[in-house]
Amino acid sequence: MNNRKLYQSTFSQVHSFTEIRWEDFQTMRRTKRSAKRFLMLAAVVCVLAALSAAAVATGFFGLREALLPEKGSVYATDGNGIVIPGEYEQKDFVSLSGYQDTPESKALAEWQAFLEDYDKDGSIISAIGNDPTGFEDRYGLYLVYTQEMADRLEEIVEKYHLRLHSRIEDVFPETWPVAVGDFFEEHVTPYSGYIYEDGTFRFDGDAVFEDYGRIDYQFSRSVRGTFNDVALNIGNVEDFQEWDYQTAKGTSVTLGLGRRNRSILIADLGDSFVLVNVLTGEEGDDTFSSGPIGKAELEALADSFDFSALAPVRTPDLDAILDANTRCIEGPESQPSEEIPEESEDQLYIQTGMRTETARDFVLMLAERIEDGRKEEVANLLVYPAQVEVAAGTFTVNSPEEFLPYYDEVIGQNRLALSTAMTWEPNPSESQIFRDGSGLAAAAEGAVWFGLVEESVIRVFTIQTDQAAVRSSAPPPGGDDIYDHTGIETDAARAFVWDLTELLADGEREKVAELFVYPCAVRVPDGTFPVNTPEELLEYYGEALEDHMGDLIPKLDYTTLFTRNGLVGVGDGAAWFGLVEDGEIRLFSLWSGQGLGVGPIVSEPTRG
Amino acid sequence: MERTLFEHAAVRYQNMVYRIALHYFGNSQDAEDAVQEVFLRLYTAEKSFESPEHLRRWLIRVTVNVCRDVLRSPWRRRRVSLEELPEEPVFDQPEQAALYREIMALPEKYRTVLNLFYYEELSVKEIGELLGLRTSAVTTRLHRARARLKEQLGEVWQDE
Repeated sequence: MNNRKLYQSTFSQVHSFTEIRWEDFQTMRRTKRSAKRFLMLAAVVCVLAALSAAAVATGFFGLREALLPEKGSVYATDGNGIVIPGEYEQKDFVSLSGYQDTPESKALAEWQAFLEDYDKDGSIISAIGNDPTGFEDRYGLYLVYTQEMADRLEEIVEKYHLRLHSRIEDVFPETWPVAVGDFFEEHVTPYSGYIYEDGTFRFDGDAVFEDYGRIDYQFSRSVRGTFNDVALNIGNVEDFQEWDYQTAKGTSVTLGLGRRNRSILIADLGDSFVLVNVLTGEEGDDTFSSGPIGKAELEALADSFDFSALAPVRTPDLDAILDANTRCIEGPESQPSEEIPEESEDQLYIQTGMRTETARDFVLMLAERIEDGRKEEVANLLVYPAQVEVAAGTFTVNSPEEFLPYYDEVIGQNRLALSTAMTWEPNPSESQIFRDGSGLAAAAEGAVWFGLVEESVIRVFTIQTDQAAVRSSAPPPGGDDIYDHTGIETDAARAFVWDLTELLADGEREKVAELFVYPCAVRVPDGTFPVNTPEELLEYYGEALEDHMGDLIPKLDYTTLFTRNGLVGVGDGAAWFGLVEDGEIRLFSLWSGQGLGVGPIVSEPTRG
Repeated sequence: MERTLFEHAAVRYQNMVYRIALHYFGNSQDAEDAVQEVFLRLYTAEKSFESPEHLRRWLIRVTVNVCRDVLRSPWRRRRVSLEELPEEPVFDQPEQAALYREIMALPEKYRTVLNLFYYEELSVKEIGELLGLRTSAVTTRLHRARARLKEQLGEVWQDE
């Protein structure tokens, strides 16, 4: 049996026991967080429920001084690391915020003691169910879902003169230097992580040493003065050998070499506290690193960071971090290259300056932000000035701030539909991200149009739904070729074709007939005949158009517009339209596959 | 979402969604929660699906996103313990139990890549696109995970 068959035969025996029934979803109200909250609460209760009264002796420097005063309970495991159902073990926990005599750690200890006794059976959170609690705005980054919890948390932070975290943002690997400075050596790789408004941050990473291999770690920097509710399970503090060490950059740190897959590095930087959870130890295996480490390797890891670069704490510019994240997604590949790829390589790149891969990443990022309701971030991606079309009328907005009041009507109420359409497949291919010759690309079947702007970054020009739209008033990159040649803006031309196909598909004969320029000629199997009014055209409508709708409609692809002689053509010329004297757009011709249809009068008509 | 298609999707793809989530979270409780969330999203999806393969890939994508959202959740972040491992199902063969145990002992980043590659038979490129990783990162994770499995499982896991 090969590996794939072994894998599939193994995991084909793993089943979900959740009952998925249509009827259940019909009655279910959709909110995003509460289901997670319930499960996460269960997990937290599990960790905290059996807090023992066994206080740990204090008075030592280093790791012991960071211990929380009480042990915590975690699932017991056997020698192979497999959970033993129903059994728990007492473990030592350390605060990530500072030594135990600091206000931050004292507050954490009090908060955990409160949580230990609060809503043990989960009945309160169960009663709240999927409803918003009303506490999300101020306490969204903490486990608070009742007024009692909010009051207790306020009491604790007031007692210790602490603030609450108010904002958190993701940090991409390449963005760490923007977020907190360049404080690691080249052989150290930070992965994605997150940062709070005060500069507290955490990330996973690895460091590779020539004479050892790879060490994985989790890096935490907590800024003093803010309440932080995270504690780290370190197993048994007696398992650690501790010593003080001065790093190559001159920072004094405490190192704790653990036994199996955990060692600790602590650096008290004055206005912040760093704790690095190193995922290997004296008897470590290669689950997270290359193998066991000794004191020398732990000291080498400590030398890999310039802790002095983290002090004093600088308040992060979270918007700049988001911009840097965006640039990472767009990537250097979004910069137009002097070397144009072969036509067969990337048509999207040739027409828009964006590589398909880059455009796809941008769409996925935008979809995620729309789905998550990250309004300001989405608003910042639009090109201004823009026209907002909502039920109350059409308005011009010149900035993200001016657009935000319209956000819910344009995007918010269609959040799921838009994001779903934009993430139609795991890997939207070029066929899902298409272009129309205007320099822009589109996703979600034309609901979203985006392109490069001057700074070679990608921005959104249009988001449109059935009910509302926001459209940039700025010309697309490279100008509007269709407008230059026909006087019809590309957006308007696309909309005309879109409307035409809908009218044809819906059998709206009269409305289609109204679109033509008269007089014109209609070609049917019996011959070609002049028609002077919509009513006359309708006599031939079935033979000329309706009988061939299956061939005609697929040809009316609004992504294939081009211009000639002042008119706009669609596809291979199945339709031609342009501006007439009253400023309206009218059809000059519409041809089905068999040469039948409606067009201009070019010869003396005959009637058979 | 049309009811017949929804019910067909539940029968055909529920275990796939569960497997992906189980690999992501490493515990069945969160994985079952993800199953609920993914099928809620399917229920609210206003589109029809062009083919079963389209539906399958859409579900994979949504499942990964749902799992990622939960891992990003501040509620989740408080759990920094790495020791918790899931209860073990009963398997037909001892080598299957051993493989399951070793897979679940791996960090999440290796588990998910392994599942998408070996079970769902996605290419390295497709996995990279799904997870937002460079192809080289996917390859590296696969390499490390295979090496780990080979070392732990011996002859059960073949050299590749």
